[in-house]
Amino acid sequence: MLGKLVAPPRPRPAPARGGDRNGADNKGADGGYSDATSQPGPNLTPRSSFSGAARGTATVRPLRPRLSDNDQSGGELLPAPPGASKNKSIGRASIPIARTQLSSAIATPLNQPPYIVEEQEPTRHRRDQPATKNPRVIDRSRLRKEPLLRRVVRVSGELLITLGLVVLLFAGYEVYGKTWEINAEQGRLTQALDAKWDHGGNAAPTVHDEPIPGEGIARLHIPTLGKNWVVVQGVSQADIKRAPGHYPSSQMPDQLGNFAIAGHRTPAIFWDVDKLAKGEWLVLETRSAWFVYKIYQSQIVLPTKISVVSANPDHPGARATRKILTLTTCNPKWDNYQRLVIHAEQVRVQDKSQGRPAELGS
Amino acid sequence: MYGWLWEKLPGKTALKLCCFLLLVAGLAALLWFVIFPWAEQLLPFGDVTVA
Repeated sequence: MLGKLVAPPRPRPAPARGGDRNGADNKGADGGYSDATSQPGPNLTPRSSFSGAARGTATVRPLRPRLSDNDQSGGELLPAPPGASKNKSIGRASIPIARTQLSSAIATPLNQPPYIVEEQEPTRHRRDQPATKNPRVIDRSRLRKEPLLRRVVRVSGELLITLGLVVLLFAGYEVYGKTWEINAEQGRLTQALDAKWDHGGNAAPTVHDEPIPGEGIARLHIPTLGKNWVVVQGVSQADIKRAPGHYPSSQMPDQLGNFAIAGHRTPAIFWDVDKLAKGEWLVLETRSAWFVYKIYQSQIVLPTKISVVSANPDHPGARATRKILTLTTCNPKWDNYQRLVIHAEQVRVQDKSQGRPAELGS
Repeated sequence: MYGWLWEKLPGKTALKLCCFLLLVAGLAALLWFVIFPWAEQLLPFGDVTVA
């Protein structure tokens, strides 16, 4: 743009064509001004040379500054304003700025749109600058101005995202939190059970006496899964919260009948019992003995089939003929519309004094 | 919601972030140790017995 201005030196005095050149000159001056303010260095020379060329070639010039041709208004006699001289310390370089400002001030009616925009935009920008750096101010004004519908949509979106995170956290709790809780509780139950067994000595070799609900009564080992738990008495929600529970209506391991256990289908309890196969071992440990059971049946039933925990689950209502161990848990995982039931039959009893049974593995 | 919370938090960005993380941690702990154990009992997969 500046090159254009510099290139055609004006042979004739400007007044003759002031009217038609007005727009082009304004444009040129405008562009030169904005360029000079944003990038002072490179633009100074062409402008000065232009003004020099204009001065050299234009022979006849009006004394008064002309409104139309502001680039040759003679404003160079004025001292540069403080802002301009600060930016451009060279005296020669400050001249065009001073001239431009003077001419723009004089020529405002004719040059209105470009100059107003050019002079207000930096100011507005400067005023906005600190606001964008301060999130408080920006936020408040944005909230105030935000339309109601948009605000409702935004807040509900935030709530939904939060809810999603809470549900995700709950899923994490169901796996890791529950596992941690169950392991901690199992540690406490083990201590209590060992203390009870140690305290009782051999005086009462079985768990015949009425156990308190929630109290540990035996330890269940599943060697193929590498797991063992303290089994508590009772199957209420509170009893089996952190341990498998023994159905109080079912029998004890040294009795004919069914020792039935309910446990949660969580990773810390009966998560993988569906992987147990026929012929694998379950071992029940009481104060005095190891009861070794062999799995003979795994079935999925409706929650209403209470016969699976009866004394003779294979022939409900008939007299018990065998010693059965039954595990019940919910099926499928994370739901409860079915029950997974494992039946095992007691094959032998080993006294504690004989050490750990071989079925437990190493 | 979060914009409003961020505005209420004291200090500059670093302090705000610390406060925010502290709040989130507190809320998560409350959920994890109090609300989830309670809510868990109300869910269907807590019932594993035959009855």
